[in-house]
Parts: sequence; C-alpha cells; structure tokens
Amino acid sequence: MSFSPLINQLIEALRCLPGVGPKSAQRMAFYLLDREREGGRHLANTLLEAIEKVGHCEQCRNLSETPVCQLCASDSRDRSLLCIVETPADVHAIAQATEYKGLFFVLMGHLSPLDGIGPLDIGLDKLGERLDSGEISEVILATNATVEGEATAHYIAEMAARREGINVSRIAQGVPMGGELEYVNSSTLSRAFLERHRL
Amino acid sequence: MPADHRQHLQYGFILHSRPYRDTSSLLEIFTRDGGRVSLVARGVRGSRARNSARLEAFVPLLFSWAGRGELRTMTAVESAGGVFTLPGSRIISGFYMNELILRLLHRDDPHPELFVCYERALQALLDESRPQEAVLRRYERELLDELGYGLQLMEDAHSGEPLHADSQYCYHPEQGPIQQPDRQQADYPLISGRTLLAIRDNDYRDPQILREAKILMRFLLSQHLDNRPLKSRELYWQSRDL
Ligand SMILES: [Zn+2]
Repeated sequence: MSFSPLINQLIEALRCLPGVGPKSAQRMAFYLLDREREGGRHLANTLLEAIEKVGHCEQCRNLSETPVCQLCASDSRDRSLLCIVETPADVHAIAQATEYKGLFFVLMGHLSPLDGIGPLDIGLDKLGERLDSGEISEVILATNATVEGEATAHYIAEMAARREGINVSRIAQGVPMGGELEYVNSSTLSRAFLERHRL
Repeated sequence: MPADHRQHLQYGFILHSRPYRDTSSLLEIFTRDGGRVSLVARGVRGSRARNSARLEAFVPLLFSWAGRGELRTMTAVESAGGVFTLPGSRIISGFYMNELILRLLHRDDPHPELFVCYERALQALLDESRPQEAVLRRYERELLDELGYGLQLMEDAHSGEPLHADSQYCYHPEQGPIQQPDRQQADYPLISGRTLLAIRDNDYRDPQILREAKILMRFLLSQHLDNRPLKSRELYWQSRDL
C-alpha cells in the first residue's frame, strides 16, 4: 500500500478490533480522517482515558473504574447470592434478562488445562476468600455450557462444598425458547432430557 | 507437491480446539482411521456460526477435510450421533487422555486400536460408580502398548521366572521387572508382583494396587514426555486447598 506512513499506521492499529480486516480498517481510517475528525478525536481521548482508568473490581473482578464496582457497592443487592460467570458480557446479559438481585463474580475465562489456564488464573483464590467471608448462602454457577465451563463449574462446586452452609446451583441447560426439537443438536437434547422436570 | 489429503466423513473426536482469528478454530482431532490430524475450521465460532454439531471434546463427530500440508482445512463436520457427556468430576480425566495423545502420537499415524481403547475409556468415565483412576491406568497401559512401549508383565527380565505375587520387582523401563530380593536402593520404581499381575489383568479393586500402578505408569510415561510435565495433571491439582 502506498498511503503515507501515519495513515498506514492507523489502518494497522484499527485491525486490533475484532472482525476488522485490512479492507474495513482502511474504510474506517478514511472515514475518520475525511468526515469525522471531531468524533475521531473524541474516540481517541475516551479510549486512552478508559484504558488508563478502567481496572478490575476488587470484589467481583468485573471491569470497573472504581476499586469496588457500582454493583458490588450497591446496598440494594442481596449479598447472600453469588452468581459466577465467565465474562463481563455475561453479567450484562443476566442483569438484562433476569430479575436476579444478588452479586456476581467474574472469572474472566474458564479452566483450560491444555491451554495452561488453571484455578489461579481465573481468580479462584479470590473466590475462595469470598466464600470464607460467611456472607454467601448460595452460589449460582452460570459458566458456559461447554466442557471447559462444566469443568470450571464442578471445580467451584467442590470449593463451595468444602465450606459449611453454602448451597450450590447450576443454571438449567436445554432446548432454547422458540427452538424446534428437530434442529437442536443432540448433546443439548440429551441434556434437556436428563434434566426434565415434573409438571 | 505433497499429496492432497482429502478425506470424507472420518469418525473421530476433537482433542483440543483453539480460537483462530475472529470466527475460526484450530482443531487437533483424533480419528479412528487417520490418527491425529490438525484442521483449521473456518466460520465455526461466533453468533452467526451455524453448526449442526457441537464442536467440542468428547463429542463423536464425522470430519471431512482437504489440503496438502500438515494443517488441513475442514470442509464439513457433522454429529456422528450419541454423546459422551462426561460428569463434571470426570472432565479433567478426559482432558488428561487427550493431552497424552497430543503429546505422544505423531500426526497422520493411524492407531485404530488405540481409538477403540479411547472410546471405551470415555464410556467408562461416564459411570461415576467406577473409580476413574482404574479407567486411566488401563488406558495408559493400552496407550504404551500401542506406541510400542508395552509393559512386560509375564516374567522376570533377568531370570525368566514367571512373576510371583509375593516378590518385589524393580521395573526397568526397557527390560521390565527384575526381582529385587533385598530392599536395596534401586534406580527404578519398586513394584510388588501382585501389582504387576493386577495391571496385566486390569484388576484395580485394591487401593494399594492402584497406588503402585500410578507410580509405575507415571514413571513409564515420563520416559516419553521429555521432562515436560502434563498440564492437565499439574494445573488441575494445583491449589486443591482453595
Ligand atoms: Zn464488583
């Protein structure tokens, strides 16, 4: 490519975004420089500030610009319930879709021994301290329905079982709402059958 | 130019999958007829991916691929029917079985008999009433056999005498068991004849036998792992006191 060095650099930099290949990076770069300079400046400043100021909440490990995030600091949440999820996006999804009023703990991943990701890498030492605090009476395991998610849920269930007075539950898995049985994959269908409930 | 390794509907399992770019995955698979194969699977991740099958470990799948190099391109995949939904407590054992294959098998080296052992071990892990250690010890022995490092469980490697349940043996990694009358210091693990015979018969009901068998298997596998420890063993059991 024969763009000037800075333009090339911008195109290269934009490619760190997910789903952005060389073509779309080029389109974005020209759009910003051509028609949206003010917006571009605002984006750059906000990005820099967010990267400097946003860290992880001391209590739930979710992204937060204060040492303890708003959700953990709130006094309207039920502090005896702790829902364990893999990512910040999962917190958001559950908060949007459910009436859940408890707290969260964000693993920022899952156990994946073959990738070198062990219990300490997903903050289970911190979770252990949290379970020891005596505040929690129920742990809700909302990790993904993947083998790694299941292995992680099992590991945490065992941690909770070693402590007195903590109930453990796992979110249900099965046929998606609006899903036709014929098109549901066989693993999901077999799980849905195993976990059928009495009406 | 190397031959095109086009294959159609090969029965097998995913051993490990790694995200690749935005929507693709790099798969290490173990197939019944082709052995270990590396595939790039395009467009299988993300909300727009349309997979009829669950692309995960322990799910029997039928893979089709093409390509000339070591890394092939997956052209199709479908469920082979049935599922091995390992209980949470057994998944780590499954990861361990997968890691052994990844570490010990060469690519494109078919091991159909080992594949049968792998499937049987997965099946056995489903049943939580069976101790998983016994399943793993049997699988390790079968794996060593299949790789040409099979255990010698018939006779004393020096005297040629049949193994005695009441004798102690020093297990030499190449030669096999050598009777060790006095408990003098040995370079190799000291294993009872009773345990060696039990390994031969796949009879792991006695916890003492399981313990000794584990020591022997670890020692023998470590001979082929180039001093790099197995991650599934290390990481999972690290910090069990959390
Ligand atoms: Zn928080």
